[in-house]
Amino acid sequence: MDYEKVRTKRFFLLGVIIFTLLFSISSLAGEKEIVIPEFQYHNFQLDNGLEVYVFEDHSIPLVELSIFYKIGSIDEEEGLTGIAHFLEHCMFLGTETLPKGKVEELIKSVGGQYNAMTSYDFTYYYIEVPSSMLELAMAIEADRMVNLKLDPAEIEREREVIRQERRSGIENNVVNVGLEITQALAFEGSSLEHQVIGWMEGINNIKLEDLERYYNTYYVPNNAVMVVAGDVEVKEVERLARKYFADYESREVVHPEFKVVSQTEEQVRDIELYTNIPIVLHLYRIPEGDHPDIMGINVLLDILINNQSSRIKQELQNKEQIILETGSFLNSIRVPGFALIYYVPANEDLLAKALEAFDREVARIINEGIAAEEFEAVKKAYEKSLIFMQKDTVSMATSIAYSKLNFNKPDLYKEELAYLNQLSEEQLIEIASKYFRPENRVIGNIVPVKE
Amino acid sequence: MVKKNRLLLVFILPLFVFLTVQAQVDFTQDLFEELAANINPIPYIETPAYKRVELDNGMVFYLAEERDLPVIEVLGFIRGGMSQESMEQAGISSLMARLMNTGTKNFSELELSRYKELNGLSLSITSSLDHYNVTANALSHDKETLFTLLAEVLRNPKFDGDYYYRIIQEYYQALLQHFYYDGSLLDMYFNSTIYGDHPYGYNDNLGLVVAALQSMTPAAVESFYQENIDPANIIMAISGDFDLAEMEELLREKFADWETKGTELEERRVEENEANYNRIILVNKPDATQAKMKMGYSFYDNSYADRVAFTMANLVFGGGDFSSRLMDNLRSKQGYVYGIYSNFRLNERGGLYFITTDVAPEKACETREAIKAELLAVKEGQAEISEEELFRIVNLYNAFFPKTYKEQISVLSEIMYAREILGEGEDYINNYISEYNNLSAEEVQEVFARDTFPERFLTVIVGKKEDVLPAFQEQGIEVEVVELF
Repeated sequence: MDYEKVRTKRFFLLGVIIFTLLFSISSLAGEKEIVIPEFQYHNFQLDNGLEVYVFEDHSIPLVELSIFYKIGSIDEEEGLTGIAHFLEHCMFLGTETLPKGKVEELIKSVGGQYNAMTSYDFTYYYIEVPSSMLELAMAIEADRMVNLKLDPAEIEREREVIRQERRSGIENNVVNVGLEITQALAFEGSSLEHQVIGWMEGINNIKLEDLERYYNTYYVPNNAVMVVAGDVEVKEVERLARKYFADYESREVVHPEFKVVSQTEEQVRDIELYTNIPIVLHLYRIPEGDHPDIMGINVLLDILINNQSSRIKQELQNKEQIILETGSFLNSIRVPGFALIYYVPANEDLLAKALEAFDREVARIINEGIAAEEFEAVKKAYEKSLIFMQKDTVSMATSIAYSKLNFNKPDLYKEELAYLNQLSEEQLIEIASKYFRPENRVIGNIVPVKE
Repeated sequence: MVKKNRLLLVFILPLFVFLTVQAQVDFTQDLFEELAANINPIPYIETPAYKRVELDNGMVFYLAEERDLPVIEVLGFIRGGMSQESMEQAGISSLMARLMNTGTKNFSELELSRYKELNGLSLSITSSLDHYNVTANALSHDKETLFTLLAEVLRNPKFDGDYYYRIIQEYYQALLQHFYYDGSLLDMYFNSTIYGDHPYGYNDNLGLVVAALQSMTPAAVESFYQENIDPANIIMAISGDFDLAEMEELLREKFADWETKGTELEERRVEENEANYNRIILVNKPDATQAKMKMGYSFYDNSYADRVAFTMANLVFGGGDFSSRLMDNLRSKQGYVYGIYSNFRLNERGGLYFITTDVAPEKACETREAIKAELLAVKEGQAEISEEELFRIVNLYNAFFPKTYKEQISVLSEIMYAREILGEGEDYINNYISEYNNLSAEEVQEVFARDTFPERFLTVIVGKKEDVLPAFQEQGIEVEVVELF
């Protein structure tokens, strides 16, 4: 090398940085376009509305069958928070044919594994088995789509397990407690007010009749997307899907209308908890997950916070040293969700200074624009992640199924890519002005308990 | 709790009569039993065509082409890790790795970040007990820049950069914050007690690290780097979309002139401490609504001959998923816990067997007793591991081994690790498969009964004293209480 090349690169980089910071260009479109290899899959729909997506991958003799139901914590009634997740637990308590533990026994006996998860806008079950056992997996999911048995004693025992899950996952984690309180403040009165697991009060309130009602309402073929990914043939999947699901009747499913909470001014809450250092949470309201602005918000978060060279890390952490750490992620779901930004001021006295510096960096983006280099780094990361994602068929399949279930856009990632390729600096500034303003956020300051 | 003042959500139920649903299939137990008749074939993991390249300085590479996607991946190990720390320099290996990831002699912190981002390069060095782990990847057309970066970070780290004291401060504050996290407290008290004054325990001994950081200097870190990071201690697996000959040339260009210093690693072994047998430590965390518990004892090192049989037995006992005995008893039947897992680590200088769970605080005593009873039942033969239980684990392994090694980089790095660290042959993976397929329940039971020691458990619990302690006191069980503040 080496050394000379590195030095050359170093000076080149410095030049680029200085140039782009001083003279950021007006349009970022026209830079290198992201092109990724085509990802192949097949899909069909049964007459009852069940959508089936098949992703063939013959590299190993395994198949993963998963079912996504369009029911999550945003579909819960007041007083029954946590019921979507509670029902997910109940789906492992047996059916009229298979007593509790039998599904486990069957799957384990063939060398398979399974699990489930509940989110804000979906509930997901998967069974991964040797590919010759696809029919078994299909039969298990078909059976519990209609024949779930809810036993009162088992529900009480499971309620205790869920209480423990809540205590471990939420109550004994400073950040999660802070987020729970901040989110409740931001979305008060809507079904996004609570965490997926629900309030303890909700978990305690849920009755067998409530679980039955939710099960009968949402666990129907036309409210589900089934994904079969692995060492399978499309024709065989279709034959089995028809055999096990075709005779199920569809039912009208009406999801409760999501109440969008409006906000006209910034809200701030100090939350005293057992912590040594303060942790600041910003929740910014964002649109639903398939809104074009979501990609722009993602790009802005990378430039502002997530990238190692991001402005907040460079200015607030590395230069001014008023924060110790920062990060962000999007909770972009089927209804208007939120972007969560967190940072950790070095001490409690720096809370106001850190907020002021944070807002200054947002204002710099709005007033001075984005450097082409910053945008190129984001595009490069996006291109790379899409290509690496293709190494994992199940991961890609999950993304496509989610987009189908919630937005009826299985290829949403292509739309996002096209949007990213034409995104301009003006659009990014417009998005920053629209969403990253104080009146659109709720701040939770987690601070040490005063004793 | 936040005051809830919500408007009633209008929840619209379907307004029509539900139709009776009827499946074409008549679900019966016989149907499921028939569908579940399956014995998975014994898998065979293909060894990719690879080349072992050893430079004159002792640096070793395992190279294998894979052209499916335009990507390149690197997994590597640098021998040493935390095991090389002294008590006065507790935490230095983690600090050194972090500084190496931050800046170099030719790239400032910002330049290094930008270089990675603009070229789509991922590179991370982390420390573990016996190694530093190196992971890197890029799109294949960026391979030249990837290895420029890798060489720069490994060979030219800068420890006296303007970021040094900032990182020390960040590290220091993060350590103090660990005193407020249940999981960190659990690891701190468990690991520092079980390892005593062995370096394996230093990094989790937060008090020790906090004290060491205060006197740590860039020169001390530089010196530690010079003593530990040596090309002769580095092995790397590289898989992806490249031409093998060109890659070898590129690696020689980047690393061949890096001179070895002939570093000798400290090989001090973990010593068993009988004072920890049956010891219970309760770390009082007044705001905890759940108790975290870890029970364990010192175990064999990575030369343990019966690792395969023990692995199978432990999966039956508590190392697997919902069907393990611990999970079945303590979650599915009793509802005491959300999750419970038994595990073991065969480190180079001494291993560890441990069980972890979260439990309702008032049930901690009962849960501890139930865990010991479950283990004793296997050990003393009242509940021996059956052929059926073993078959399920073997059948599962036969199904999922190909998935574990689906990625070529996983196979390549495993072969590299087996050959270079464990001194095994190239057929290590397939020999492992063959070994677990030829085990009988009797052999597995015998190994587990011989090599489990319920009377040696050190138990650490992090929870609210008022909720956890009474049950132990009622039983007359001695508990050491640690008050944090």
